[in-house]
Amino acid sequence: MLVARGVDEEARQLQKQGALDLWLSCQGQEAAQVGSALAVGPAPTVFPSYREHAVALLRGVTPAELVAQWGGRTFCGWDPLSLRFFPYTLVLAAQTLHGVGYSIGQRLQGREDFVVVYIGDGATSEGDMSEAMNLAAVESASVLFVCQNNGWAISKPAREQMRTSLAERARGFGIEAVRIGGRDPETVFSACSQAAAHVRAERSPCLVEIQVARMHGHSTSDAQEIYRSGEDIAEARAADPVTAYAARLRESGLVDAAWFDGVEAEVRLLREQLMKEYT
Amino acid sequence: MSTASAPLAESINATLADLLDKEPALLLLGEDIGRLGGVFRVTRGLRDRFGADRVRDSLLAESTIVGQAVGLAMSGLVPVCEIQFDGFTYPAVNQLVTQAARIGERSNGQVSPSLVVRIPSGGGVRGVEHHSESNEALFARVPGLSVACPSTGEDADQILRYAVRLGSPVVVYEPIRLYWRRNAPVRDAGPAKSPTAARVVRRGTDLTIATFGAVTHEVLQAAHALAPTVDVEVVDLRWVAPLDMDTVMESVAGTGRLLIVHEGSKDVGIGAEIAAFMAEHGFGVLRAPVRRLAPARRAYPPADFEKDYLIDVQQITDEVLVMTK
Amino acid sequence: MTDSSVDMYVPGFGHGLGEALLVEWVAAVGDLVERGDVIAVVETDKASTEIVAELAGRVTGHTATAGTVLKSGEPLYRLALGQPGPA
Repeated sequence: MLVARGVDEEARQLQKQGALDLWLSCQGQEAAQVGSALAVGPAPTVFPSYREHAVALLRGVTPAELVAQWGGRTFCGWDPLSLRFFPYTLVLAAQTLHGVGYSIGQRLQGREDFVVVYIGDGATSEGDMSEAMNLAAVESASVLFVCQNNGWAISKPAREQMRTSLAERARGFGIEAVRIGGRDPETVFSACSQAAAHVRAERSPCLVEIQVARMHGHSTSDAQEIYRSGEDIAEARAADPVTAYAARLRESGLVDAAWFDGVEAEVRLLREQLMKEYT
Repeated sequence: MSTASAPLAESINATLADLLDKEPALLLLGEDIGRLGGVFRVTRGLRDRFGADRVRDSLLAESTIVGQAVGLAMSGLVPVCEIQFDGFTYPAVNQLVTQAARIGERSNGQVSPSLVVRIPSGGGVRGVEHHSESNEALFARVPGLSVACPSTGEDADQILRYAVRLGSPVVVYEPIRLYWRRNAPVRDAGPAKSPTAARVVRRGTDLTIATFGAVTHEVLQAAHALAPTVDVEVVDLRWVAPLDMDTVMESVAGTGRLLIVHEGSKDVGIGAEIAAFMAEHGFGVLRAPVRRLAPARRAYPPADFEKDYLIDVQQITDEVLVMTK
Repeated sequence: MTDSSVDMYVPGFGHGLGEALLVEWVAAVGDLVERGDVIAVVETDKASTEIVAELAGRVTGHTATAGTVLKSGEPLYRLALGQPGPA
């Protein structure tokens, strides 16, 4: 989470310097991403949306590879096959159907068919999301849908996007679903572990809706101050999962200051490398 | 000047059966293609022979068909999808254009899936709204997609066999009104130079007609009828993306005149691309302006009016006579 | 009676199908039929289907025999129109 935060912060900085064209920050969503990625482990193939930077880093995408497409160098900076982390998909929800199809294809060939599909709340309005949930349900595909609901589709608040939770919608399609808070990585880990166990045991889909806070705008081109109250933004930042979990670890005595120093040094090194690569 | 031939639907059925037999990674996916054998029965009997896993009755959702096929292809399978009618392709356009067509480039060539989408197309069969359209030009201009328009079983066979191994998506338009026709105008038997090449289906000296799809029949009928006075060469393009302009150029170099005939509407159509290419690269060999014969830009009409929309033999004959006067 | 008979034609079968194999006559010569009654069973390239009476009357003649290929628009059978009394 600290590494993801550091890389994200550096990417934001690089964008401000003009070294990146655009950056979609994942700040506020680190607990959801790290908790879910660790819960499913390295075996499943991940079909991300475009903001799953912490998942990417856990899968072995390097920071330089991660930002390459945002610096205009490529459409995808990493090797999707060997990392089992597919390219970011900018046309919303298109990847949901790919993920289900991939799982069906893997099963037909007698291979690992566990697939994780990431999606944001805004993208769930797309028809492809509904089609993918229905397809996964009727085909009983081994797909775990992870929806990070950050409350906003750019400027449209979640309350104006849907009348029910996404979890409730998923149940309507016949998919087991749960809705959880996304501030604590252990809560996320536990819920996603249960969901993953369900997918593996039942060979059928599951959906976990994770409530997260969006600390920054949708992208570096967004200006959330225009449509979002200062209070709301301050609240989101106060609910920062990274600082909260760091404090909890520190207080619990599970890790010591030296451990934090080590992580800090690692982050500093990664940021320096990224800066050198892109400036 | 016509000859008996196996119906196109039967030829395609035989090709798909053979491909399923020889290629374990290949599967078929589409609405009603399994139990029913497809609304045109092109896949009749294949589910019984190859099983429901490989001849898959899809959900009634075109985006689901193509989006799922993208995932299947990424997993190493070769999906051959069927869209029920041309006019129902539109819900799948996003998955075809922004996804299927771009997988290879997006993954820096590390994923190169073969994926085929078969689309019954064209009019002349008294179809209701959306059942008679020709939207091949829409996809022809999408980088990353290849678009084929075979007009015979032999061509469909060669094209499908090529498409399932190409490593990038191919859209194949199949002319509905030829599916069950048992006779066809006489064609020269010469083979195409390559699976993606156009085919000269009638040799002639006075004028070249470049065409593709079902209307190839009307073009050949017109050419045969004109034979005593005008010797028309007919090029069946077979593919509209990529276009085999070498064969067209070669033909026009011999005849000096080019008429393009197609069933999709004229504006910004395949004919416009061919005419532009000739203006840029073949101006010197032209003895007369290039002309296009295609329906005006309007929605395909209700069945009672489709004769006004479609290009018939008389129109082709008249156009050739005007150009060679 | 046959003087008042009219020719009834092979209908179109849709989707460009212009032919069908005559499998069997269901309405024999002499049978009274109502509109919608099955006259014959045919097989197109796509499916087995029925040709039904377009009008009520008495079938007075068959123009084709089972096992032949019918073309849309050709005469198929003759029908004495109306509801004649008992013969």
